[in-house]
Amino acid sequence: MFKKIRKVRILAAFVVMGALLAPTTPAVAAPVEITLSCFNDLNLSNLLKEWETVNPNIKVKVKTADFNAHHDGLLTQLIAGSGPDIACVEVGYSSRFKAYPQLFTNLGKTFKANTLEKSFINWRWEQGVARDGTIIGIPTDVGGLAMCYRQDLLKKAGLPNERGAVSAATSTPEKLTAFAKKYVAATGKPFLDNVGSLFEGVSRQGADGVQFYDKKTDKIVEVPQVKKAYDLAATFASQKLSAEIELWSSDWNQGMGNGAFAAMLCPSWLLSNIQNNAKDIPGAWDVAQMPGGGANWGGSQLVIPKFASNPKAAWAFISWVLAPAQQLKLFLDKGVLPTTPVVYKDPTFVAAKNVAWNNAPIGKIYSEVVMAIKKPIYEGKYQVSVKDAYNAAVGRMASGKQTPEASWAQLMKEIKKIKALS
Amino acid sequence: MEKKLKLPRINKAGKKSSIRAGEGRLAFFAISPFYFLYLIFGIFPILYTSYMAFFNWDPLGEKVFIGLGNFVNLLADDTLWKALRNTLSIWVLGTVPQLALALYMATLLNRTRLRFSGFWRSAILIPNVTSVLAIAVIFSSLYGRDFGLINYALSFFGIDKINWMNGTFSSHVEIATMIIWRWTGYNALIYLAAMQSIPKELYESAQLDGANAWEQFKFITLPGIRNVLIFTVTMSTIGGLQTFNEPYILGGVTGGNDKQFYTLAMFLYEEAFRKFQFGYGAAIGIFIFFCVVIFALINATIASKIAKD
Amino acid sequence: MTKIEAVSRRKTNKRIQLGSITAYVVLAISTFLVAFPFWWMLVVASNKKNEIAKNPPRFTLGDELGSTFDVIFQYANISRAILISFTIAFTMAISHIFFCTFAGYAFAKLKFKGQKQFFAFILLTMMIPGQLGIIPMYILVTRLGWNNDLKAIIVPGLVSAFGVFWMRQSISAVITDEVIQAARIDGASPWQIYTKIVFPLVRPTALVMGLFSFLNAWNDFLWPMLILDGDKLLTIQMAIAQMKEQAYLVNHAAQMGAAFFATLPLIILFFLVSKQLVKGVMEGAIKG
Repeated sequence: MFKKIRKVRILAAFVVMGALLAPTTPAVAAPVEITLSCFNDLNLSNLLKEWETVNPNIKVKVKTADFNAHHDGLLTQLIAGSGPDIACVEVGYSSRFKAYPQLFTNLGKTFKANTLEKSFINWRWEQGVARDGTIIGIPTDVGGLAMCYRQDLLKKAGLPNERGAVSAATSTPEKLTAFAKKYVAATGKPFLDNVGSLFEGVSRQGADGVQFYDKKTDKIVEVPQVKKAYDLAATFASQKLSAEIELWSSDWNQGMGNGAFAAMLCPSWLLSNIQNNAKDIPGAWDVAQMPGGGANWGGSQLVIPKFASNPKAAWAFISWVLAPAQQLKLFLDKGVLPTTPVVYKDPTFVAAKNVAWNNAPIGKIYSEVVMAIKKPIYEGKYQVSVKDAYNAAVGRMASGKQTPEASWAQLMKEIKKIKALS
Repeated sequence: MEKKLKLPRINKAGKKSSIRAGEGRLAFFAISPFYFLYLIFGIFPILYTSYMAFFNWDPLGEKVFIGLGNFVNLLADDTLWKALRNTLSIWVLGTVPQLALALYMATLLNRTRLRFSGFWRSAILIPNVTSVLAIAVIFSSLYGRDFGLINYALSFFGIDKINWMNGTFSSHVEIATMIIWRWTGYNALIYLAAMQSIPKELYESAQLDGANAWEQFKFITLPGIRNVLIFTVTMSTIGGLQTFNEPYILGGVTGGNDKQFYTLAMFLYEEAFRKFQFGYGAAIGIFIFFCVVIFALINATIASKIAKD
Repeated sequence: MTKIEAVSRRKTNKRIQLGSITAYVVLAISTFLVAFPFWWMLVVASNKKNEIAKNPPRFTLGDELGSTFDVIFQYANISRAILISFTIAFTMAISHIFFCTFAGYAFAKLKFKGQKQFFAFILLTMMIPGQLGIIPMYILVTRLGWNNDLKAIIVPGLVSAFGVFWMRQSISAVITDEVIQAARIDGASPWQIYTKIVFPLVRPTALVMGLFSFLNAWNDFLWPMLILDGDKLLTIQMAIAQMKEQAYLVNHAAQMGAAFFATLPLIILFFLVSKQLVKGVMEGAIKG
């Protein structure tokens, strides 16, 4: 009996010694959960599944909220000293957050994000960098702007409907107006969905990237391109060339499928929506260049708030999901336009044709639009409010409430008020 | 009442004061949990925000004391007066018919021989139980310009399509109908509860005297629920002047391209949360407070006049 | 009964009958108005987009309900959201019934120093817009470490000025001073007066107030959205809002389906509870 116990004791001692002397393997990282807060799920459903196999220790939970509520809510959280691990900030709102780089993790300093800069489209990258050079966010996608049109309806109206021909026939605001007039005369139906998006798109085509804010002085300015866009919208509205259906309304969604309008400005991220709404008429929609060549509308940056609980895990996810390989996958899967130009040269990208889009090479078309843009629109602190004021002015004028001149006058008064803010 | 602790004495006077002392203590226990929580979560935020109103307060940056500057600018800001007009218009369109309707519904539900009374009573509260978001989506679809059911129905009367949210009055109507749909049942139930405590004999004897339904309502019901009437009018005023959810969800944060349905509360929200002007937003809040006090007093007086004995 | 009385009786009977018919008609119309949006919800949830797009749109149920529900469950935790919303709302209702009735009693029937002023103060604070307090509340709650914790929603909502106001009103109206005096003469302590006499008498009103507290908590949208993470913890309003987003889009059918599905348990519960409520209200009337 004693012998047995002794044996056991010696055995135990060996085991303990063995354990103590064994080389310490790196402890398995405790599983971590990070939150990604956004105004939509960024089309990540499939990539998230893949992430689980790539890094099962970091679980990503996506939390969504209404577009405005998400950004306003993020701001509230940052003020109070909290926030999710990752948040997406849409470029239209980025100016607001970039004004306070101290609220975000400095991605350049902490994670050497500056090494990634060259992989991204330069002006998209700039939208995630604060005025003092702090890198706050990494670009997710880009919303190159083109013009989608119903090639079948154009054909019926006796107008050219092939991509190149349409692009040529609408390459300037004057040409576009003439083209639209011909359509309306032939069919009696409106050409465009609404002038608001026309204004948004054309106003962004200022040569030096100035829309509402001057980059050098960081002050609100009025530039000719914006007035030009406004006047174009006024022409369209007064000559009833647009259906004036409100963006995002159910009428608008339905209009994509029922011929209420024959053309609309479409950023790349809108394509799947149009496709959904036009399920019954595959191939009816096609894509051409918008007047003036192109612009950018939309896209977000992924940021890590300063108070995130797991910034390292957050960065691990961000650097993976925004890498060129994943962005290509996202494009092929959901049509999201990548911000890493190396993808544009990938053969699968170039070859991707979309049957629902009359076999248009979507990737090629949009990447050309994007690469042609040299400067991003510089957005200042009150970008959102200024944009709201301009859009409201276009809306008043388009709905016939005020003449274009009266609406512009009221707009200038409101801009003056905003300029007075610090 | 002084809270003198006296030993209980047998004589009447002594018993009274010890009871009063006991009452005082009980009152203290009764209201202190309330006050404690209220102090922290109700009063502190309000004091803090009022303090903000005297500053140029950027939540993420500088705070600069400017005294009454915000208030001066606010009163000269025509957006404020527009928002006030909108808020009052929506309030009148939404609350006045609603309370009248609620009163009417309550009298119906108060009938002695009403079949399925439980069903009717529950049914009218259902709108309040649904999610505001979902209801807003339905209402915007119903009021859609091209494919909305309401315009479709109006077309039978030869009325052209109305762009509801685009106009001033029409947007107020849309918002008001949503508020009426949502809150009538709520108020009807409150009135019903009050009406139930009016003795039925009063109605019976009035009926025998030949009084018709309207007269019974005017001379028995209304005075009988006087306090509750004043209460609901006051509550509706307070709530109505702070309308935010319905217009925000139906029409978006900017309140329309000409701010046609921009309410005071939306003005506060935009200034504070979208333009970073917390001081200015706080000043708007204080303005709303004064409006509420004034209108609540006016409306309560009117209500008590309507329901006088 | 004299002939004159009989005639006037018959006239009154006729009036009652006509009144009854009007009553039922009005009630039926209002029930239709109340129910129609729900029917519409189901129609939108069960039909393809283009069916709704027609003019006039389709009014009947389609076949897409199954696939809509698939989408719903893929995108949001509806059952968890309902459970959490219910927990929050129920706790607040019970708390209000307890605290607000007690405080209302103190203001209505007990006498103490500064009573009028305390009460006026509560009334005044109700007149200040809610949005004003959100920022300091958020800062406060974060300092307490209650981020993404139901405590942040429940604790500030444990008491309600509205509830105190309402209970004070109804206690003043329902409980007469004589009743209390009689109880005092019988030797009851103030606490016993409250628990044995006052509370049972106002219980129906307290229940109705509790119901409204429940509804307010159920519908609260902005505050939980700021506090909760939307994944482990979320309310039903948040879940429905999550339905909205698919790349800047709105999936109407899923939203409607989620909203309908979220409201159904409440309606069922409500119908179950309403019998009690009605009974309670009636009882209160007879006793008072």
